[in-house]
Amino acid sequence: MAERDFICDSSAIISLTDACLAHVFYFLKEKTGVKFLVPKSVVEECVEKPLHIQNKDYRFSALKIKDMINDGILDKVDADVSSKTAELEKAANTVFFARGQPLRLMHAGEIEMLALAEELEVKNVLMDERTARLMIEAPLNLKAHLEKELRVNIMVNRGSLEKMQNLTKGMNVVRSTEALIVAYERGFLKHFDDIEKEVAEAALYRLKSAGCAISFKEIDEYMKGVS
Amino acid sequence: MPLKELTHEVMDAFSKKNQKKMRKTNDKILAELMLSFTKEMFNLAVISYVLSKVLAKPRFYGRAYKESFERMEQVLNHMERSAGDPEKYNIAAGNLEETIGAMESEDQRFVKSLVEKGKLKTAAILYAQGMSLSLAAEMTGMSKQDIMDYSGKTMMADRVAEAVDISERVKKAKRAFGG
Repeated sequence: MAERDFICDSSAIISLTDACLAHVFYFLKEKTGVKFLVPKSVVEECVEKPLHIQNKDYRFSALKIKDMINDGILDKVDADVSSKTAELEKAANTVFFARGQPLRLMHAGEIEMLALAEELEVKNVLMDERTARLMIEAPLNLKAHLEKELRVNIMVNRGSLEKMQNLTKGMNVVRSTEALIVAYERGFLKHFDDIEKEVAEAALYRLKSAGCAISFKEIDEYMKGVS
Repeated sequence: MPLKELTHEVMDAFSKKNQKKMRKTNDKILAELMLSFTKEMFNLAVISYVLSKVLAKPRFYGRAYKESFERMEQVLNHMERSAGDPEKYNIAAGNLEETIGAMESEDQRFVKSLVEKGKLKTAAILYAQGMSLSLAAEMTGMSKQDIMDYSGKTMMADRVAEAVDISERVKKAKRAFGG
């Protein structure tokens, strides 16, 4: 796989489609030539499942995602990483301990995506989900967060943490908001003329509201730096 | 805190129609749930949330709902007695949810039922506390979309210390896209 390819978690795909910003994928693919790789499990979760359950709330998003796959904007990928996933799931869910018990924080699907990224030698991960991102970028910040939320001491199992860090070493997590910013700076919102900057800010807020884990402070800081 | 004691607290708050106490008990249950997730504790978290909402609505205090209130007290009693038997406990919790559903259906005002709202709020809190999105979805039976939608309207993302600042993040993203 190319250095600039992205493996996409369902969270970022959901935010962008839910915020009616799915065209960011089309734009970035055309302008930069990157590939957006989507694991089979993500397709099942974002397309197949919402199309086959009784609740029709998410059918529209599912159909938009299906269309992006049909258009070749999102590329389905698959590889057998089951044994690696099982091993890493055990590590990920024994990094932190509370009251002498391991804290189960991560799902096999998230670990599978990271194992798949490693298997395919893809370094960029498009992800809006917060816990897995913190586990990759700053596990000790996650520990501090757990202590604050749960009001208990959290112990770290260094062996499990090292295993996780070895897997995620060099991984670059990009949220949907940063994808939008890159697209914006390359002219994605140019047709809005003199309200382009205002639209960019509004779109960032919309992504936050759709579930992208970005703070108000981060949005403000980014907008302050934009001329 | 063990399940039996927490169930007793829920029953006590309900029989005294003390909504404030019910909310506090719900907070306690949610903290416990993340540390040791069980289906019973999850059901109790949802029930305490739903009952706090029931207690907050004056329309449910009328004569028409007297029987339902009595039935709910009986079921809570049964849940407390069944705290050592997961199967019985969860069946009783299901009965309680059905009773609440029946109360609501007599005067339906929202698309989402109170029980569904309780499940969603519980899932979003687990995610806010530090559980991953997929795991919170799996454990509670809620969809990721629903949890993201709910969480996106809260301050959840503003309560975590980020390790990478936004300008660095944008730089990295630009590099990743070849800019």
